[in-house]
Amino acid sequence: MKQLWLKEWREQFKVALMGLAGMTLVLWQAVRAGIGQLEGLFHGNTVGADGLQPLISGDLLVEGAIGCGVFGLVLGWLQIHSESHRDLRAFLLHRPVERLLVLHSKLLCGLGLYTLAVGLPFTGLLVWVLIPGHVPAPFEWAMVEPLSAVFLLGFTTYGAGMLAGLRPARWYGSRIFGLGPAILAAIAVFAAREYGQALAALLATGGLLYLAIRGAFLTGGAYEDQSWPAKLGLSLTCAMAGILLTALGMAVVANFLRGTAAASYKYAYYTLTAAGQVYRVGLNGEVLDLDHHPLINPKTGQPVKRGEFNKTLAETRRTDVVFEKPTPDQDRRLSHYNSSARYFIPWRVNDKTLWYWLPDGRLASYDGGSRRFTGYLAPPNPSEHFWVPENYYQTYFQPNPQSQVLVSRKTVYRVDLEARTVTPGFTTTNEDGIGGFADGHTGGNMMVVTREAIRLLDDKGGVEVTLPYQPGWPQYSTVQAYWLTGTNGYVVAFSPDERMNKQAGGRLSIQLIRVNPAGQITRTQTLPQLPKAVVADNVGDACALIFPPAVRMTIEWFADQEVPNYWDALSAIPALLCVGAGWWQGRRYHFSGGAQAGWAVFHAVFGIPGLIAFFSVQEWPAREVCPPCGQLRRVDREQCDSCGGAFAPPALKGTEIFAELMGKG
Amino acid sequence: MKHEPVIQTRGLTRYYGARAVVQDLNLEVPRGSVFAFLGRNGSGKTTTIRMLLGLVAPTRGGGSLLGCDIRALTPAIRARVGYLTEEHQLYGWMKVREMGAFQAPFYPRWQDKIFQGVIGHFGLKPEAKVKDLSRGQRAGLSLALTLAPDPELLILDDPALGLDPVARRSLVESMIYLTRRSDRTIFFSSHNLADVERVADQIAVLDFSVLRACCPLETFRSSVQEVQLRFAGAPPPLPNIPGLLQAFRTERELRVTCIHYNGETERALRQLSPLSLEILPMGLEDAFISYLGERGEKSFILADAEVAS
Repeated sequence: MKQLWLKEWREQFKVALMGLAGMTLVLWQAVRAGIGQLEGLFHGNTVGADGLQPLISGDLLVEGAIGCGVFGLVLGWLQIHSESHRDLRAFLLHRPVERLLVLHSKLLCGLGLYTLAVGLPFTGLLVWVLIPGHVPAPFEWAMVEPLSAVFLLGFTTYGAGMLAGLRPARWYGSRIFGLGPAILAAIAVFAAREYGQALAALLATGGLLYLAIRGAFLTGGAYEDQSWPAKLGLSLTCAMAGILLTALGMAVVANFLRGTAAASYKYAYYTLTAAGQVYRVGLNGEVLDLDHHPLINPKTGQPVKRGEFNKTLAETRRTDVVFEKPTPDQDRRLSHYNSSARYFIPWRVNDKTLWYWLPDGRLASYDGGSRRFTGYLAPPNPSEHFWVPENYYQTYFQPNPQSQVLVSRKTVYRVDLEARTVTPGFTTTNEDGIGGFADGHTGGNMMVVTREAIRLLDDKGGVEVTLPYQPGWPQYSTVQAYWLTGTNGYVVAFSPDERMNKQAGGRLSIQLIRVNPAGQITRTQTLPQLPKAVVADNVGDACALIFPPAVRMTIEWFADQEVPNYWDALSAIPALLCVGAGWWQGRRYHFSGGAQAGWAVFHAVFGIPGLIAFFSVQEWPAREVCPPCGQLRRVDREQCDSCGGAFAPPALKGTEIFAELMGKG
Repeated sequence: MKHEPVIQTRGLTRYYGARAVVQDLNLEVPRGSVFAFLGRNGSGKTTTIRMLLGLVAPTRGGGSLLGCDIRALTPAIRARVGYLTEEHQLYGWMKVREMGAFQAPFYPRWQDKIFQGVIGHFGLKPEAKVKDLSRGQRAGLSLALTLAPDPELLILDDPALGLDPVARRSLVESMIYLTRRSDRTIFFSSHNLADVERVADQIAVLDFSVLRACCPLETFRSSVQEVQLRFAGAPPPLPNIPGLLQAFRTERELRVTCIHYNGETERALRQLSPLSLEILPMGLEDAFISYLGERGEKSFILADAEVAS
C-alpha cells in the first residue's frame, strides 16, 4: 500500500502543484476584485451584497467551483490515463495485492493531493478573512459552508475524471458520462437551500461515482462482470448524464417554443392617477377606464402612451401584510445557505462607514478605511429588533440620502447613521403589532398597517390619516395607499390574498376606500374582477414530456417547487415508451427475467435518460446464427438461449497436430 | 497435484466486437515445461495471455492458472506468476534502483541477488532513469523485475520483440538459466523461432485465433516434412496430395511440404513419376512458415510474355 501510495504521490505531485498555483491565483483574483469593489463604493458605485465578504462572494464561489471542478477532473483522469497503456496497466495490476487496494491507494493519494492543493489556498483565504482589518463585512462560521461545498465538489469531478479514464468508449462521448453526477452535484451545490441538502447531493453523487469507479476498475471497464451495486452505480451515473443531455435538448425546444409565444406571463392590474381616477392596465399594456374604454390623449386623439400615463400616477406605498412574522432565525432560513442574505443585508453607506442589517435585528457598522468593525445600532428596547429592511431585495449599499427608517414589532424608528442614534417615531399603543410597513426609497410618506388600523404618515412620522383595516386580514393581505394631489385626499386599496381568494372561488374583489384630507371616508368602491393572468407554459409542458418522473419528483423535493399535476401524465408517456423499447432490446439479447424487470423499473423512473444509460452501459455482444435452431444467439453464452445447444468447435483443417505433452513435475 | 497442468483452458474464447480473436482454446501446459506459444500477428496470443492473467475477461469458456480460476485469481496466485509484457512499459520517471525498491515489498520471496544479477547482465546503471533506457535495457529491467520474485510460472509475452541480437541473446540465456529449476514453468509467446528452438520443449500454434497444434517441439518438427521431387522435364500438375501444405515449382523440380507425411503421401507423390524423391531436413522456422503460410502451389517459372518484356 505504501509503495503504491508513494508512487501515486510522486506521479501526480507536479499536477497537484499546478492545481495549488491555479487555485491560489483564482482566490487571489477574487479577493482583489472584492477590494476593488470597496474602493468603488466610496466613489459612488454600488456593490453587490456579497462583494465584500469573499467567503460568500458569488463570483468567488463560481470561479472556485470551476477551478475545483477542472482540477479534480484532470487529476482523476491523469491518475488513470498515465497507466492506460495495456502493458503498464498489467504491470500495475499483476501483483500480489487485491485490485481494490490498488484502487484505494489511488483514491487516497489523489484525494489527499487534491485536498492539499485546494485546501491550502482555501484555508489561507479563511485565515486572511479572520484577521481583523481585511474584510469590512460581518463574519460567522456558517459562511465557510458554501466554500466547503465547492471544495467537496472537486471530489465528484475527480471521480468523474477517473471514470472517464476507466470506461471503454462505446460511443463517442459516452466516456465522459461520469461528468453527469458531477454537474448535477454542482447545480445542487448552488441551488440547495440548506448546506445539508448540498452535502446530501454531494454524498449521493460521490457514492454513485465510487460504485461506478470501483466496478470499472475491478473489471477493466466490462459491465457484465460487475457486481450489482456497481452496475446500479454506473447506470445511475449514466442516467444523470442522460438527464443533462435531455436538458440540453430541452433548451433547444424551449428556445423554439419561447420564440413562438408572445410572452410567458401576462397580467392586468388597477392603478390610480394623482387626481384619483382609477384605470386598468390590460394584459397587453393598454390603459382602459372602468368602462373598458381606452384612455385617449386629448392632444393627439390617440390612446395614451404608457410613458405619458405613468407621469400622471399618484404617489403610492404598498405592503404585503404579515402579522405572524418569522423570527430572525426563521427569516434568514428563507435565504439560501450560500446567499449573503442569510448572514447580512448591506443597507447603507455614509462617508466611509458601511452599514449591514444582521439577522439578529441589529445594524452593524464597519469602517471602510480600516476595514474594521465599529459598532452596532439596535432598538433601545433590548427585547425588540429591527425587521428586515423595506426593499431588502435591493441588496446593495444605498448611498445617503435614503430613507433611514427601520421597523420593529411595535415601533417605527428613524435611524441617524451619522449620529449613530435611533429615535422612535410611531409606536402602537397596545398589543396590536405592526404587520406591514412601506416607505419611499428616498423617504417621504409612510404607511403602517396593524390589525386594527391603517395609518398614513408624513415624512416626519406624524399620522395624517387613520382608518380601520376593513376589509380585514387575512382575506385582504395586500394594502396599497395612494396620496392624491390637492384636495383629493387619499385612496387605500385592499387586494385579496391569492390563496384565500382561490379558496373562495375567486369571488373576492379589490376594494377601494376614498378618504378626504380630514381623514373621513367618503366612498368605498368594489372594482370589477381583473382578467386572469395568462401563463404560457408550453415550455414546462415540453419539459414534462422529456424529463422523467424521477426529475419531476426531485424538483418537488429539492427545489421545493410545485409542478402541475398533469406533468405526471405527460412524463409517463415517454417513460412507458422507454420501458417498451428497453424490453424489446432485452428480448433480442436474451436478457434474464431479473435483468428485464430491473431495466423496466429503471426506464419507468428515468424515461429517456434511462434509455440513454441503458444503451451506454450495457454490452451488446455479437450474435451468431445457431445452426441447430437458426436463431440468433449471443456469443458470450455457453449455450444457445433458444435451443440449449453448445457452440460447435472450430472446423478442422486437417493440419492439426496434437500430441501428449509431458511435464517435468 | 504435482502433475496437474499449471495452465489449463477449456473453450476459452474472446470476441472483440463481432470478431473472435481467440476461439474455443483448449490448452494444457504441463508443469516444468518451457512452452512456446506461437502464431502470426493478430492470431490471439497476447489476448490469450491477458485472459490467463485475469486482465481481460473471456467472452466464454474459462481456465485455470496454478489451479485457480482465471476469473478469480488471488493475490497469492499472482505472487507465484511472473509476467513480462510485450512492450516492457514501466514508469519512465523512476530510476532502475527505484523500480526494484517499488516491486520488492510486494513479493515475500523477492531475491535482490537475482534483480541485481539481471540488471548487471544487461549493463543497467541503478541510477539511470527508465525513460532514458533503450528498448533492450528496458526489456532487461522488466525481466529482472519479473524474475526477482522467484516465480513458479513465468509468462512472457514476446519478450524479444524489437530487441537487438545481443539483448535477445541475454534474454534467452536468462531463460535457459531459469529452466534449471525443474518445477519452474515458462510459457512464452514469440516470433523468433531460433530462440524457440533453443529453449522450448513444447509448442502450441494459433492459426487465425484457432489452436491448430499443441505438441512437443520435436513432434511438430517431424510432422511437417519437405519433399524434393526431380523430373526430366517440367513437373506434372499436382494431384490431390493428402496433407499438402505448400508446393514450390521450378523448371525441373517440385518441392512439396506436407503435414503428417506417411506412406499414403509418398505413394501419391511417386505416381508423378519423379526421377528422384528426397525428404529434406527442415528447421522449425521453415516448418512453421509452411504450416501457417499460404496454402497451395507457387512457382518461379515466368510466363513467356513476362520473359519477353
